[in-house]
Amino acid sequence: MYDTLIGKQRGLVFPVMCNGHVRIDYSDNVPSTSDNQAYGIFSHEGSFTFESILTPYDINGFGQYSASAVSTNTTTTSTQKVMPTAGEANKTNTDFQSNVYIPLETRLTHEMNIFSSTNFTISLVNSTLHNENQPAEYKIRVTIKLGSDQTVTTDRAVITATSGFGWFYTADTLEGFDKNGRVTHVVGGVTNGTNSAETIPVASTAKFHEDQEVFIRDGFNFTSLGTISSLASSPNRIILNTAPSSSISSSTNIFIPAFKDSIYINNQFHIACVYNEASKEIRIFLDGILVKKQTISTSNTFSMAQEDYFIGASSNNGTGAGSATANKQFMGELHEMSMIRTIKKQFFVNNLLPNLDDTLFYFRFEEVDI
Amino acid sequence: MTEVSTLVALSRPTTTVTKSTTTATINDEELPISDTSDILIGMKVSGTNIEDNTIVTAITTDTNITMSKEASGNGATGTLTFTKTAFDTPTNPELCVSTTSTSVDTFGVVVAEESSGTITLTSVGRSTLANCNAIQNSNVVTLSSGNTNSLYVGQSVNGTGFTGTQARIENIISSTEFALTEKASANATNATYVLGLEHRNLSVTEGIRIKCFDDIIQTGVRLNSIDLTTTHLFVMIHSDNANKHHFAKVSEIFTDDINGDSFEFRPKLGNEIAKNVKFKLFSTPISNSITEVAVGLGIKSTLASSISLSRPLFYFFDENLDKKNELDHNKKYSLFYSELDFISGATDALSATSFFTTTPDFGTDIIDYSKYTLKTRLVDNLKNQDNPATHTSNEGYTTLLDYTPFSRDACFTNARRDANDSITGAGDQDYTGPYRYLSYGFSKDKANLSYNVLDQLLFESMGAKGILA
Repeated sequence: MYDTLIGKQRGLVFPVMCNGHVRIDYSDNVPSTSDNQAYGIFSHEGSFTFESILTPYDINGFGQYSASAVSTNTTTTSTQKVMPTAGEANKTNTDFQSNVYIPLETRLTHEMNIFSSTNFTISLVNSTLHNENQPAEYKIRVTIKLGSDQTVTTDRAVITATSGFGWFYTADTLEGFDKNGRVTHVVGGVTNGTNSAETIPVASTAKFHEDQEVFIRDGFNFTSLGTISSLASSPNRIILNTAPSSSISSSTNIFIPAFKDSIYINNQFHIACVYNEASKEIRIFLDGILVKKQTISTSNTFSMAQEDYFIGASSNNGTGAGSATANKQFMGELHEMSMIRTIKKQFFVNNLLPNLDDTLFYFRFEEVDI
Repeated sequence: MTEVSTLVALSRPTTTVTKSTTTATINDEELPISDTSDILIGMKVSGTNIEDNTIVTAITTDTNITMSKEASGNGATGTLTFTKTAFDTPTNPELCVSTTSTSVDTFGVVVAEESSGTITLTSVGRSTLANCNAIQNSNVVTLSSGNTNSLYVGQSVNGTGFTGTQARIENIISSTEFALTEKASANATNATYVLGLEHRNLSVTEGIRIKCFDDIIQTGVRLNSIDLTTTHLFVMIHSDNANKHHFAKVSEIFTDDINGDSFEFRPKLGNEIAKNVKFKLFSTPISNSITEVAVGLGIKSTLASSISLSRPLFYFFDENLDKKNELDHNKKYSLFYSELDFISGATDALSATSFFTTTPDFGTDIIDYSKYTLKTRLVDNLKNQDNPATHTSNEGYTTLLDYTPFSRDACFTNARRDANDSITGAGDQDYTGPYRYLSYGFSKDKANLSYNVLDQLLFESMGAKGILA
């Protein structure tokens, strides 16, 4: 048998700052609700496998924690794939269109619905504390109604930014390389005294900001000290959210992450959710690899609601300032999506090949003119 | 009130609004109508006593509109038909050109990616001759000062007594006298005539080439001073015949006998171009700030009533477009326009006159390939809010201007993001950033991989590297 390149696949593009969705309308598909003649996905009960191939965009943008003017950092205003820059100082400033669309403090936790219905929803959730040198990083979240809503979220962000770059010499990167020779961290500052609990005196706080994770070097490893809860001056010091487990001596380098890049905006990911009615187990896969599983203790059975379903947003369908949050607006590219009524344990991750007999829906998002 | 020379792109067919009959007043741009509900600035209006190609330029009250042209007569208008414009146009839209000049019989249109500013055009080969004297019904022109040394037979002449004609120099009688192919319609005393707005092909040439200068008899227009690396040079062939217009871009300037005496253009015009075929040349500096996608210059005003933004009236910069010879889908464009007046000056400036958006490339249906073939719909709220009838900012920006297709930031503001994200005030808004409409794009190549294929038939080669099954 062959593996063959066939045709030229297209995807549905949801640009950054869009407002739209795909609607599977119940009344368009089921002639009469009174006769309860629902079929297919509208009458589905029990196990299922949901699969999608998609590309998420970066909804954080390259922020500047202390910048007050966008004009100082406008590099992200030229692409559909990265949210415009927003500075922490302007996180609620409505002078910036992207802040009106979705405020900075909201986009850090923004949820993007891939598929949405009352009884089954799968989404990507941005899980970042700030956006300075921090592209959006996504967890996968699944909500299934088994009597009550059961939400399963991956323990960590699974679609992440790349970090680090090939080694080269600067004063900041001299000691930031790991055992592979990649510069994964850079020096943010140097202590000029011994810490007192959470407070660490440093020579300069210029490269630190709130919510930033800081590290110390331990051989070829970098050990997290926690995140910065506040900065102080005279004398300069950083105050962490937790006290280091051991004392930090003077003249110790405090490291911060090296340059991060949202390289995922140019890649595609296979995301799958498998629900097993017999075991009540929910499994989440990324690129065919199991990233989360959880068994629900319940005697309830799963069934799809007889209603409209939404792809790329919630059912909110709102417009206006900040509506993207309630809409749970997806921003990225949807290449394929399918749902079948059986359980899959292995996946082809570059495209979907659902068995026709078992398929509840299968969208390729190829443009059609009918 | 004054008439306004302008143009708009028409929306897809059958999108009209009708209003009951009203009364027009001759020579008045103001028109009372029963009500202005559903009427939008930029609509094309037609009815009895209404000039062709009239456009609504303002809605002054709930029962009154202003038109681009004066009413042509007094009395009932009959049922007024308003045609929707600017939103959801085809990718080769029909244009409604509302010309007003009686002295200029051509116009020019440049379609560019959304932008403002002006495009300066120069009529190549244009010159002037002062101190010209003509007598009505005579074809002889006498110079009261100066000489005929720089003139040549076949050179076009425009001026008093020869306005709007195809007058050309028929014979150079002496150093102070020359005869034209037309007779003067009026006396001229010490008038300044404009020469060389229109040129002739000086020999039979192949379909992509024109002989523009004859070095032996010093006739025609020579292009030795034009640098095509810094200048767009366009040619309207059959410039005197609206039914034969062929607009093209000069691709190369040649040296047959002397530098700049012939040129080639694209796209080609048949296999052969006859001798004496008329043409006009226009040049404009290549702009860094304006991205032209379609250009049509020197179009006869007689075509204003039904001009389609398509070949052969327009040249398309295919390198800036997804498909050949048509605009991109779901995009916002600027229409730069001017009635080309090279009589009063050597240059003319086309300004961004109106704006329009093209229709999405495909419908709102998405195919479900399962056995249930579910009906699904694509909903783009931004596109819906950009409908002129809705005209709402998705961000609810309070200083959003009233809809008009004649102002860049007062129409289709949801199509694109603000260029620098700053929307501090109305003057700071500049919606020229990346597009926000939902669209289709190509997936990564690996998405085309199909596994475990039992058999395959190969239909088409993908370049020299592979096979498309």
